[in-house]
Amino acid sequence: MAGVVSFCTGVEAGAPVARVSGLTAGYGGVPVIEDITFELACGERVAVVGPNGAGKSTLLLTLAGLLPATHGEVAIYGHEAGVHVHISFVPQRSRVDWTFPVDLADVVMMGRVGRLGLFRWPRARDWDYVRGCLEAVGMGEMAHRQIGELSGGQQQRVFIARALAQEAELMLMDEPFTGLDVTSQEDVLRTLEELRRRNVTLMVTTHDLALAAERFDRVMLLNHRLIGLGAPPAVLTDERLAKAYGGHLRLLQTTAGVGVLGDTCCGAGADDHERDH
Amino acid sequence: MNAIIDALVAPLAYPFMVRGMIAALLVGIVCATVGTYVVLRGMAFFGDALAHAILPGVAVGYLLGGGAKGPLFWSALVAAVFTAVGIGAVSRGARIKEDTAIGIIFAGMFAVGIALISSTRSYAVDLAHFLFGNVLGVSGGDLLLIGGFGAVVLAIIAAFYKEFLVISFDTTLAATLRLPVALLDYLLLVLMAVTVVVSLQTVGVALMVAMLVTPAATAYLLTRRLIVMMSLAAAIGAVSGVAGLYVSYYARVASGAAIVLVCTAIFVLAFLFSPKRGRLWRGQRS
Repeated sequence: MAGVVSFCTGVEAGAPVARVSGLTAGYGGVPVIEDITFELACGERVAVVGPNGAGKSTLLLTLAGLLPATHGEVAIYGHEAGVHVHISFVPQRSRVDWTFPVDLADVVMMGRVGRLGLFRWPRARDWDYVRGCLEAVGMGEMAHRQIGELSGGQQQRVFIARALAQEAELMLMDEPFTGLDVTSQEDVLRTLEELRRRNVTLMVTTHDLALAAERFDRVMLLNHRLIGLGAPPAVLTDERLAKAYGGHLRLLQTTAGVGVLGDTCCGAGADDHERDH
Repeated sequence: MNAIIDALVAPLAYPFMVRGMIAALLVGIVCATVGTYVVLRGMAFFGDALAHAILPGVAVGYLLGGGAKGPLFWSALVAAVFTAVGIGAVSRGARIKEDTAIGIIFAGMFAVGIALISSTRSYAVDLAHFLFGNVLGVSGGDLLLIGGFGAVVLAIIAAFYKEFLVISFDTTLAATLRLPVALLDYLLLVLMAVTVVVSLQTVGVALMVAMLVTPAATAYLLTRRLIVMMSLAAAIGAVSGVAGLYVSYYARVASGAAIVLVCTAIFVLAFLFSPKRGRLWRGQRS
């Protein structure tokens, strides 16, 4: 596999990967997110938290250029959203057809389709590259397993391998930790380190506030509008959490600050069906 | 042994049987290959509707040509492509559910076709040919059309294999890779339309969906990789076509029905005896 590519070197020092200003987006004229403004720095990891229906998935879809903004602007590497090709979007697991007749190598190769170009079938060199991506996420041995045979954590890791194959500079993951046990979560988090090593900018949505606070550089608190964005202790304050979640959150007051026991709203296993219109 | 060879060779003494065999073989391969996408994308109802909806095209060609077969193919082709693109457009701008839209369009067009054909004198006989096919009536010119269009369909599938794979498996990825998703979707619909028209003479309108769906579904039970599934489906389609004609010859049953029955029998065998999906092919790779 080619040497590790650092995507930040090509970016002007301090220039943001994504610049979002006054973004409003939604379905059928009904805005789901409104007046969102923020920037993503190269190589940082941001967790988006908020109650169900807060617009977390909608935000990711808009960044990926899959949903048009009704107001405001989204610029990825200075381009309009929907133009930049090095974005990887990982949908919620329930949205993938796991019975489809493809193996892991096939799925990862899909990330290379743009690179291969029209009318070209993958060659040995391309399969080697794919193998390297699978090895980078610790799944090289499973290249020829059918995707239906994977556990939840493995499924997420395959998508991370696909993002590597795609040479994605910005990776957007929708609920990658939902429904995973702690061990699988750790596996996925460890695999995400591989992305950090390559300076891939990462934005994930999650219901798990503790995980967001402990494992991410910044946390975005979202409920229809942007309630806070910054270092976890600064954002996940009593006041802001109450504002985002209303009464649906159990807080634990300790001498060290506020700990969150859980988001009692709606359950972490439930998909938010924002994308179903 | 000799008796078996004789039994296999005997029908080939008739040139119309040879032409029928070649047609059934070609149609089996093309239908099954395209049918792989029909099965994986859950478009069986669309395929069935498409076959039925070309009837008015067939009828117009038939009336214009005064029964000659030349214009029939081309008018059917126009009707099929028109219907495929029409259904595609309706389901994109959907204010009603896609299957409802398909149901309305296909039954409406089928009715137009029957109405047109019923205005001719030999209504029952002609309608039966369109509904159930008449593979033994295939001419040398028909074979050229089937072979030519079939080759184009297969070539396009080979050329866009990986793009079709991506749009079928993960539309979101296709969109983030900035592939022209809508264009590829329409191309696939048009390929299905061409396939249906090419196969019209072999199995007819009513049984078309079986040729699209059954071999591909059988292959799906036996493998877990698209390229293998596609090849296997093509082989099953080809075998069914030829074996079906032998069955038709010796059992004196309608050729289209015989071909579909062989397909169905192979599916039932696979369904019953593939111990676990994919067992047969696992371990054959790498």
